[in-house]
Amino acid sequence: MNLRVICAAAAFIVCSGIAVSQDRSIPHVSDADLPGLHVVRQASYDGNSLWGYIDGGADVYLEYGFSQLLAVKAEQNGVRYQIDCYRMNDAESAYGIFSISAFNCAQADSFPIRHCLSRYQMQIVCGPFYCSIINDKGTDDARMMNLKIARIIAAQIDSAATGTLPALFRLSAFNTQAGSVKFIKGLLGVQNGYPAWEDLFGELRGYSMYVMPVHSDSLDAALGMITFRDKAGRTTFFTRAGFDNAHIERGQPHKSKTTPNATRCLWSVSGDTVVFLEARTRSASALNVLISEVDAFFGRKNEQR
Amino acid sequence: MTTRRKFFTSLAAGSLGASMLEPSFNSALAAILPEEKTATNVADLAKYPRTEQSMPGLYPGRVVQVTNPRCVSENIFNAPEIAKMVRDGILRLTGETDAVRAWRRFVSPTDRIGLKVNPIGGTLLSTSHEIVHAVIDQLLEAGIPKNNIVIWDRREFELHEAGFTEERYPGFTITGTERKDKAGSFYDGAGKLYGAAMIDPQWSYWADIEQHYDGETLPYMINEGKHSYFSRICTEQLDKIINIPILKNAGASVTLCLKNLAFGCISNTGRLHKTLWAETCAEVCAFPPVRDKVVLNIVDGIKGCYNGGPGANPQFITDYKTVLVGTDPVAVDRIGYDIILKKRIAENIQKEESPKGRKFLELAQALKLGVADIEKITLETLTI
Repeated sequence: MNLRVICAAAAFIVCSGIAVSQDRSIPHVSDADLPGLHVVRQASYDGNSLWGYIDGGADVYLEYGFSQLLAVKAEQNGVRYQIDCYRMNDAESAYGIFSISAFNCAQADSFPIRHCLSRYQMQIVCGPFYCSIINDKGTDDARMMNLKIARIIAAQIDSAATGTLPALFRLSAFNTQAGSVKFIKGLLGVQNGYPAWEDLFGELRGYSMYVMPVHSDSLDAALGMITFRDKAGRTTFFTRAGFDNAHIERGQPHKSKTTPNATRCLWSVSGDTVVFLEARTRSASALNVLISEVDAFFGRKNEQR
Repeated sequence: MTTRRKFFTSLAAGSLGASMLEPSFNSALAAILPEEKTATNVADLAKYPRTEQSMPGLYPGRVVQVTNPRCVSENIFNAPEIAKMVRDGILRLTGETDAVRAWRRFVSPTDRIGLKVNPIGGTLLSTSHEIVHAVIDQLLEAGIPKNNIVIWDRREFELHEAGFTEERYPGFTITGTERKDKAGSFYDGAGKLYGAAMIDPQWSYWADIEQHYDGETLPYMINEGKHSYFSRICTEQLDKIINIPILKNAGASVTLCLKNLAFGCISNTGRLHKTLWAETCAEVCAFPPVRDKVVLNIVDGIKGCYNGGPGANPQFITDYKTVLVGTDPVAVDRIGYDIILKKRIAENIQKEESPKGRKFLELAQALKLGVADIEKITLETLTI
């Protein structure tokens, strides 16, 4: 098997949930799909019955918006496989779970949808589906079987209609970071996806955000696009971030605050959405380049209006 | 879930429950609790005097960390090396040179001893059999009868799935609170949950929060409402508990000794995870069925995880190649917390400590279950 370790994210593709919204089934595998594969047990979970399957681990799925899970235990040649396919409420939620679960990913050649391959696990995400295939041996053969099972699952998902990350994160300047963009919808997502911002969000409810960590020799930063459900949430966030009584309007220059520990910047995207940058830098020029990229992005957007 | 929740300003505000607490205990809690806290029956703890056996046990604030680079390689566990790690850890903790004498500081042949393992990660990341066999072998050498040793957790069937079976542990009791019959049913012929007979109505952790469970979930929770009942395994069937959790994260915090005990010995936990996680970890362990029975903690860090916990996400599983030993669950958790935090920072999972990561440890310290202050913990490290 020819694998490429991801060091830089390629063009980012997230399948749209719209394409599969009419199909209520969940991708599955059966004995007939692969020679020697034997399904030992299969169970479906919905609502809060997810508690019965993963106990406290269910919270983060419920926070993102969980609809249904098909959990399959299978065996082949003495290797056990756990195949979990989650139908989330929408594509963003599925991507959110994927984004906080994927780490140190390898890429499989010619795999049709976004995925993360490692020694023990293959994770895929497309539309409202997030699927995880885990083997308990970590051998090359077991990893290959993970991939075969994933292909069977992927073939059942309509990947024709694709969506994208917000345009900001598709800037060419961010190519090397775009693969690590996380989608977060609540406190557990923050804790698992970008815990450095736990204090900023705390018990706030009704927000969602895309967060892109940026790590380099000269810069340690995170760029977030945050959507608030209401003005109160936005105001609370502004206060916690050090922007008391901030009034930012779309098209205005960004606002910034610098403390001994960090520099923070705010841009307005719309009434309920802002872009927030937090950076610790050993190089002012690296930070300025990053800010300039965002400024230029919004400058172009405003010209297009 | 939260609509009927009542808040009160703080335990120090003069409620009846607060007035029952010792002043130092009271003020310590007030200093760390947020202004608004969901009410629990933590104040009831004042009714139960501490015993000689109460947490933090024989060695408050002391932790032994044993590291052995040969204990695991390519997912193959080295049982003799792991057994040596456990033995050396106990010897160093007790200061004994003889393992039998060391173990007998904690247990005697007449004790019914429960090994509280953690099987929720299945075969991928559960308490390792090599650790459990090491503990069992050393208990047997110390004269503990086989039929006095119990392997237990909340879910009996998860124990079986993780390999804690009669075949692997012949002659030992393997039991759980939530259970099924051989046909896979949670219910007996009369339509009652088997688990319902396993909880003790005399002991409960009450919290002013509740959650409705559907028919599929209820067997895993046993009851709804505002009470989480302690398992009879803790209240009736065991005299001593040896706690053997795994070195795992839970978000930016950890799930080690206190979490393994707290969420492992009560029912109706679903309502507690999201908003009372830290309080539950500390407060449940402060009730006598746990506080007065746990004599030793051995954290299995042969393999562990640094993200994705408490589930088992293979990409975040790592070979820590370490075992932590101590009677003080708070101190042991604090050392384990630092190990995981260091790994999370090294892997760029987080940049610095989350301010809420140690809240459960501070609560537990306020409840006098052990030492959370790193400056007051004596860590002894051994490399084999």
